[in-house]
Amino acid sequence: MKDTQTLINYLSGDAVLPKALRSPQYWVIRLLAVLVAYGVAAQLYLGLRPDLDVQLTRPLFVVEIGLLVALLLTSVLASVLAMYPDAYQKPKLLRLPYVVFLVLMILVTFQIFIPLDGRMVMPLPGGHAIECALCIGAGALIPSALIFALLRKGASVHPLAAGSFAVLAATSLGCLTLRLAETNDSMMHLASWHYLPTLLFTILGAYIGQYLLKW
Amino acid sequence: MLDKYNESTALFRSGLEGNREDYARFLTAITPLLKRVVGRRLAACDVEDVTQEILISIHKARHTYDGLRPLMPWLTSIAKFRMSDHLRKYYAQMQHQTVDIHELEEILPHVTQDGDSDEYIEELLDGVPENHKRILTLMHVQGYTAKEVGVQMKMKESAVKVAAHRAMKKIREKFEK
Repeated sequence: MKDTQTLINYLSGDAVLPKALRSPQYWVIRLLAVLVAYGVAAQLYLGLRPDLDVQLTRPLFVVEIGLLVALLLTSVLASVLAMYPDAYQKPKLLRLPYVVFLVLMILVTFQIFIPLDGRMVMPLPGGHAIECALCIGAGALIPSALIFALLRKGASVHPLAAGSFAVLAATSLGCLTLRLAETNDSMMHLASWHYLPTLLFTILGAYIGQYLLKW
Repeated sequence: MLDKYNESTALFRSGLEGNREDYARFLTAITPLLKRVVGRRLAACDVEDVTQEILISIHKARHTYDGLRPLMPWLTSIAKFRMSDHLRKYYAQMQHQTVDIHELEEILPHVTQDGDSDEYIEELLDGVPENHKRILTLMHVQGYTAKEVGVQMKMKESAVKVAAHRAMKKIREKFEK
């Protein structure tokens, strides 16, 4: 008890007053603003697919884009909540990004097995493949670093999950940008070179998270 | 209970505003609670260390509490995290602890050749009923738990514990004579 009392005296004598971490709403808005600006810049660089107006008349394409946006929003929200030890007392929201990602995977798998829509554009044989994964990965580097830097301001008790959310948010932005830029609707291509790498990057993010988010 | 909780919250908030005495009082007030929580999950010898680790973590993470939400879930999240962290480190350490067989070279022949200890156990168990003898051997020589012995001997765990206790008492009495 004597040791604990000494520790308490030491801790309470700490002269530095903490600057309270701002609310999750503030961080979500701020982080989203940065990510949207980055996404717009990336989209300007990559350009939009020429048949985007046609694709937007296809319900499954709209749902896919909607799920990518939802993935971005939920993973940003989960990243921010993971900064607080108690997830700002909304721990169930930490599962949302995984649920959205799972639904997205189901949608892509479903589209592999249904007949092709005439409006879908299939790639020519021997087209690009790994370049998409590399593009998503490279594009996710800066946003991931930003989110990790933000997460380190907090005190996450879910370092693995927090790391995965950070990378998932960044890669979902990359996936969204690329989906709006690339004239390729092959679901096998999307599954293999967009979403599977996203999953692998997310796992890598979880692995990195346990080291970077120690406190 | 609610008063105590409200008081702790008020002390913590005051501490966050710079009142050191209130902060010290808050840490002192939660220490017994933390010790109870830690004591339920970890070995008694680790309680003090882990409680101190939790106190340090609370101090480090105090900027993440804004006073607008209940304090206890915030505290317990940190406590659980530190306990899990401690257990993770402990099991990782245990995994890497190995005994070199060569280090046992000098001991092993001695153990296998020396029958004194076995004879001594037999002498101790002399006069103890056969099933009690078996329970004691299984539990204290072969290292089975009361539950496992119960399964083997088709007895309830509580009955095994009672039998073991009685047998030990008998041995103790024999010793005292």
